[in-house]
Amino acid sequence: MKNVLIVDDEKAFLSSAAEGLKVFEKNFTVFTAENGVEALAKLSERKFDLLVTDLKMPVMDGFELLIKVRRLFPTIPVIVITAFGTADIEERLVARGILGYLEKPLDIELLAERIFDGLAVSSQEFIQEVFTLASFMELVRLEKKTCTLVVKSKDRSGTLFFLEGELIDTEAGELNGEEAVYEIMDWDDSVINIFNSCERNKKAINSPIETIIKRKAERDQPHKRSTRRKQEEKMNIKKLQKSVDVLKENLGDGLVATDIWVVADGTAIVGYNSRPEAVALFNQMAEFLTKALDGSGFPKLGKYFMVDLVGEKFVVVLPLGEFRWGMLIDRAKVQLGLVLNIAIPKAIAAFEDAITGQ
Amino acid sequence: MGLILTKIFDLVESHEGYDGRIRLVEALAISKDKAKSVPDEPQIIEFAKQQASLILGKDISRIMK
Repeated sequence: MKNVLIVDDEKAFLSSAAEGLKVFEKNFTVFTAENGVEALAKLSERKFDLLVTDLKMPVMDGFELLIKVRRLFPTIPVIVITAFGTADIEERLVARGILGYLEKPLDIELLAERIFDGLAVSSQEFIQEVFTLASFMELVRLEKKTCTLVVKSKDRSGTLFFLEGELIDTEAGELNGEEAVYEIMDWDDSVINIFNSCERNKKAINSPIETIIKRKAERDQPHKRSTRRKQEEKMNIKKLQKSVDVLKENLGDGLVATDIWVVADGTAIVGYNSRPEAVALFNQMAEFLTKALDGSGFPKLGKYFMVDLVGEKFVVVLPLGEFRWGMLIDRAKVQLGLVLNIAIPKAIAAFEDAITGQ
Repeated sequence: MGLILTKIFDLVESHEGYDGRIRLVEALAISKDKAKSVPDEPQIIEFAKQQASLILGKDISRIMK
């Protein structure tokens, strides 16, 4: 049985939601909390599959609750309730780790629909990427909140000042203004603290948050491109193609298609009968498998994973550091033992020569 | 020649698969095949052990004694 926690300070709404959703009690159980403190207590008591929370609440509001959930229960999908949503904002929030938003006044049917959608995500055991600082800033703007966010990562600390939802100033070490925002957004494993006041009143940042986030994305693109260029330069492409040839020589007609791709952007560097859509799909699958195994207590992924497909075909994917190598093989034309014990080891040796330039 | 280095490669591969092996190849800038013909000099072995320990997340010195 799935558990859903709905957090809102309006008692009347909570009781009508709990009552209205009773018809789905075979699918999920609804728990309610009137503020963030109560919600955290309930989240600690049992496993929840979905959190639906209002943002404006007394005692501990939705913002503080989201920060704590991000830290303590990072895999719970979250839907936020707001009075100021638009389709555009929802799209941006979803892209940044929040599952969606619900607009007030709430319709029980729509709430039920969203809960089913949210539970479908959680039932796929999808490991949700914890919502980002960008999505949190969007929520602050959306709710026109006055607050100060203190972001810490390792030994670094940064402060973002919001006045009625507008980001007016930021500090990060010696940086301030927009540059400091970009710096903070780059930090991994950051911990956010929120204070419900803003000690600044002078505007040092003139661009709206969504523009800053957009600019940050644009700045990251060339970085990604240059990372890829560096990876390509590091590889000896001709030799890399040779490692594909080694695989072909050993598998003959049994090799239907193959690609070697960069994990970071999921695009192929070299291949044979290249299939970009397969590269994207198996890159995602490898990412999911690696993460799922890491967090499960099971042993890690070993040398490869295989997917048996109908029509006498199978796919083998090899994780190779910053790269992955996928191959579609016709089992009617080549034996699995030959693939795993002869062709792949030879191809790996050739791949090693390519990355060491030997 | 290259016996200890090859053992280090085998150890990393048995724990971390091809992924770990390729990370070690990148760190040492030498393939597993070539490692077989590299002299087991203390400096090289020490560096390889260090890199392998980083990849495996544990000190391999005791295992490799």
